Amino acid sequence: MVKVVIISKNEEYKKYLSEFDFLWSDVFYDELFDFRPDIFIVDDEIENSEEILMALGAKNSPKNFDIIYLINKDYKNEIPFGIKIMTKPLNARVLLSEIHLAFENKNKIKALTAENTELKKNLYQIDAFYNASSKFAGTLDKNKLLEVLFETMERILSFDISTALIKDNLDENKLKFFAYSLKKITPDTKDNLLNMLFEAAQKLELNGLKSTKNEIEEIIKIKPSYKNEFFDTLFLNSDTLFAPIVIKDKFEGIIQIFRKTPFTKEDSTFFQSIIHQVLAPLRSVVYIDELVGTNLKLQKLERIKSEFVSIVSHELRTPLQPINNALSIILSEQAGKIGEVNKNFANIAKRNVARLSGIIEDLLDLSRMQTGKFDFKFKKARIEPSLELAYSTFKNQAQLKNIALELNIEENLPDVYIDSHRIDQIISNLITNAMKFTNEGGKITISASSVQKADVDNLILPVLKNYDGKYVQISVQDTGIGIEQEDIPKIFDKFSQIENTLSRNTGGVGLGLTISKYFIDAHLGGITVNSKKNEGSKFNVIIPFYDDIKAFDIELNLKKRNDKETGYIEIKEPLGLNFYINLKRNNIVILTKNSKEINYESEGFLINKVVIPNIEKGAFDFMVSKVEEEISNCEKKYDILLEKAFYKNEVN
Amino acid sequence: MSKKILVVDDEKDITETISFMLKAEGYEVFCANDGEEGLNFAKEIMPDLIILDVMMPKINGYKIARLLKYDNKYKHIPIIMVTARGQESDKLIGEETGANEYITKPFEFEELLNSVNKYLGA
Repeated sequence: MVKVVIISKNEEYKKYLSEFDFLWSDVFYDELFDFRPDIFIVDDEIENSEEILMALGAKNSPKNFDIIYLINKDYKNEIPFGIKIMTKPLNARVLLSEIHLAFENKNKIKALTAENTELKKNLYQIDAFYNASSKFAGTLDKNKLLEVLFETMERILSFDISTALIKDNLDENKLKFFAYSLKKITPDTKDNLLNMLFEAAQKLELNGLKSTKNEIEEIIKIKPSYKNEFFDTLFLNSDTLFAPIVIKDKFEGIIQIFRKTPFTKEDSTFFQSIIHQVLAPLRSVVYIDELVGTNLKLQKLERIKSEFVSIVSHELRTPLQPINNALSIILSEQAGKIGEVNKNFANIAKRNVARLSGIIEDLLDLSRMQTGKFDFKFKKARIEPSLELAYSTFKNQAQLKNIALELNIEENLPDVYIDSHRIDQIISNLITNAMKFTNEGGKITISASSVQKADVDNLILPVLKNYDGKYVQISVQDTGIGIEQEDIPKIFDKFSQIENTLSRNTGGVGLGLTISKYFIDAHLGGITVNSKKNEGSKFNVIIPFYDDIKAFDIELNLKKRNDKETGYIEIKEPLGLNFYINLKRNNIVILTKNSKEINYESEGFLINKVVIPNIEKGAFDFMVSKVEEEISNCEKKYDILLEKAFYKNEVN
Repeated sequence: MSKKILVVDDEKDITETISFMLKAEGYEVFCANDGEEGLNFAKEIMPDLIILDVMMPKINGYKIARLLKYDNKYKHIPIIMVTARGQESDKLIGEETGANEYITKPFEFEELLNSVNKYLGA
């Protein structure tokens, strides 16, 4: 029913309004509002009618009613905004339709406003959801996820206490109890909250809840602003919502919230959906934890395997030496003449001892490679001797197999920073392979030249540190059986030849390239393979030209690799030096730019070992002369150094 | 008079074969099969050269080398250290202890003989 108030002296209007619930008055007074009219009609004949309009306007925000102003034709004054005008004399039908229209509008606005409020609330929730989910997506830490969950719930549900019982990341037999409270809670309250959750969790009868209560770690957070107020028995007369977190049918946790004001149906829906939201990232966390666990187990197995290989290889190697010695004695005929036939057999035995010890060396290298126990001895050197050595070693063997062996070395190759012994091994591995896969009458070419890195195609190794510019390239090219294009990436895998049918014809365990790759990596070099089936293969190894910075990078990289398990931090250029600190071994290794190495034992800050062949004055930012006696001379700079180093250490 | 060589290695098979070959080259050879015996022999017979294995029971090769090299009475005796290949950090210690030469297992007899001849000038 439309409610109308009319302020006029003309009682005739009552007649027009008879179909409405209306109030007629010839004066304005405040109590008229109590009637809660939908429409106010004001006649301009009333005294102060304009002031009344103003008063009505002021009262009508937000808009509760329509105002209709009845004026004479000659009314001149300005009429305030939002007020409808009707000119007298009144047409009853126009007035009625106007009232109906106003009423309808009012109802529409009411509906819209209600909808708007609902939308606003939804928007707020969506915003909170969005916020939460972006935070959820950004973290894989269970504790952090819960924090975000609590925060989001607090924003929207404004709970007083929220608690959660969640499985520990690492030890699934352990539980963590989280409480997030607006006020302080007494130990009794905390125990009660914990018991409630624990019992609820047990009632769910889900798999994977093995803990007893004593194994529960407690994490309690109180909102700082209420730190001195207590919640005591609040939860007893509070409304509560709770939800289990179940992943793969296994118990992962349970969450409960308490609030003094009862939760509505919407609150409950929201609670369920936010829990649902947190499940996805939580599931990822659980899977990742599983993966991490498996990974750790695998790493341990790998280590055990490596150690096993190492021990077995050592044991295998020991008896080989006397066998070799004995064969040498027989062959030398110092112990008596032997016939040609026996000599041949002894030679076969000796050859195979060499082969067996080669295989054992490869296995040992592999196990060292995996445990990072390789000792490299890098120094500035020329590459030519290694190539010449390889050539002279393989010359006879090639001749026996009727393979032409050629050596081409470009003149004036610059120095490289290498471990010559490893370079020998790399070249020897490449030539051994070439010999294996090249038939009689073939040709093997060993060569060395200088190249621009940009000119090197199909670099296979991910070069640790990319240097543009010049490299020495060592190539071994054969006219052998070649490699299928698709097999090229595989040949650097461990034991790659074992799966290969060729292995039966060629022998070897297929570790040569794996080990070579590792060595090349240590030189910050690279390797490329060009091969065509039945035409031959060309292996190119590139090693950067020597300079101080590369030498330093190589040494630093080596340190890092060796200490992968013990941990290290790297400090760039304090006092113009590059630092490198080994954390676990508790000593400091300082590598200066010119790659000289100084070791410090941090205990008592005494210099334990100095490995500088020649200390030149001025070569370093600080000087250490021959151990303890002269330490006072350099104490000051030494202190600064350590301070800086340890400061960085703490920061990390 | 032929030069005296002391071979110290806990592997009897190794001392036996090495000593056979060295004797064939005309040296007088003494063998010891553990570190303690080796050290005592060295002091007793005052050899012209010692071939020393590293990993041995009782006293290891490094210690023997150090004890001899820091003793004025014995420090002139050349020591050839024999150890498993790849233990490069061992090599460093070997050098610090004063071993004159370092040979890695597995080695060829000729290699050892070359080193021996280098010091004994045969």
